[in-house]
Amino acid sequence: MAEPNLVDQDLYRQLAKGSEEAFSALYERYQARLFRFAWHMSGNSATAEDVTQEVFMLLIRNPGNYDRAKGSVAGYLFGIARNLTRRRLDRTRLDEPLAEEWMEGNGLTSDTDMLADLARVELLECLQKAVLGLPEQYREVIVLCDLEEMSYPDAAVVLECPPGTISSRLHRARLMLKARLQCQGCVK
Amino acid sequence: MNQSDNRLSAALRRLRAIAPGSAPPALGDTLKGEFRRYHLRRRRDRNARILLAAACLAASVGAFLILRPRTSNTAAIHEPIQTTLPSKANVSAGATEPKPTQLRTVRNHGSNRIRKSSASAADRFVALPTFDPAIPIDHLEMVRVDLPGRALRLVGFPVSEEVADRRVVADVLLAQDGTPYALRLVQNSSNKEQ
Repeated sequence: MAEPNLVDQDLYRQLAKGSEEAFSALYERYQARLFRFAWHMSGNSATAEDVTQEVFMLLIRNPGNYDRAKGSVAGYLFGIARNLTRRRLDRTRLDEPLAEEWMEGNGLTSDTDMLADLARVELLECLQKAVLGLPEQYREVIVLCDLEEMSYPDAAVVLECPPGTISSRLHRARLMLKARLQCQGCVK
Repeated sequence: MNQSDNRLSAALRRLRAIAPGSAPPALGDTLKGEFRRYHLRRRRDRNARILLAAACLAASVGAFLILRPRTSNTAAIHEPIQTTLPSKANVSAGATEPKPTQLRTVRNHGSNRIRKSSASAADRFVALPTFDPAIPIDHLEMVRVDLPGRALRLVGFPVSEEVADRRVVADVLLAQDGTPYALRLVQNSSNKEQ
């Protein structure tokens, strides 16, 4: 069994040599985060599952693609997930990113009443709609920094831009999110 | 950070909380199985490549051992080399210097060949004036030369006028310093000179 305290890069090295334990350890560390990232980006469980699977398939087949000099293993994995998600969203032309499955899955209905309490489940639905409606580059920073609580430098590696850009993009994304929520009548 | 920001952050945290906790468990099993199969295939391919390389190497070594030139007591014929007749020092002054002649060198320092050769053709070898009976026959080297018959006179070999105008092939027994000790005619070539 792989040591639980092994750093990602050690695990990755062992994985590249064919260690199944190292693969399992890396999978357990990252599968949930990658799945959630893809889920928040697409609003779709099937897409999230496919993206997660493809990320790890790439890891199995091309372990040599990772260059530790370019950043962390997490950044590398999220970078792959981001590209795959983008490709899928482009392919399915998700112009109207309302996550119908999300609504059906949670048994929610549209609520246009003006509500102040964001704890209400209906408002979470509004928020999800608003996040999915954001332009991709703003949605990515909201998902990575706010929903996945990734640090700015790590997010910068994933999104291939300077940390300062992450900060400004996140600020703008939040403003857009609030405006959308207000437009949808979810908040006062 | 104002109240709306706080409210938004709280809502985002709640949104995170309701998101799926992980990928379906079946996905993990599928991927681990795929990992196992992939590396099994890779190991099998690598072993096959190693076996193939080993087989190629063995075949190469076998072919080399079968086809390599065998060293035996028979004379090994080397590529023709350009040289001049040896023992120029022993050639009488004023004689015409023979032009460089193509030689087929027969090298074998083993005594067997020389003895065999001298036994079979001893009667045909003619001792030259420079012959020294004190030199052990083991130290002699036989060189086959192709040269004008007249040039044989330079080393003291008796040549008739008829042979002198032709090219001849001859075996010369040389000492290690290149002094010719004996000579025999192998064949007369057609007259190519003049």
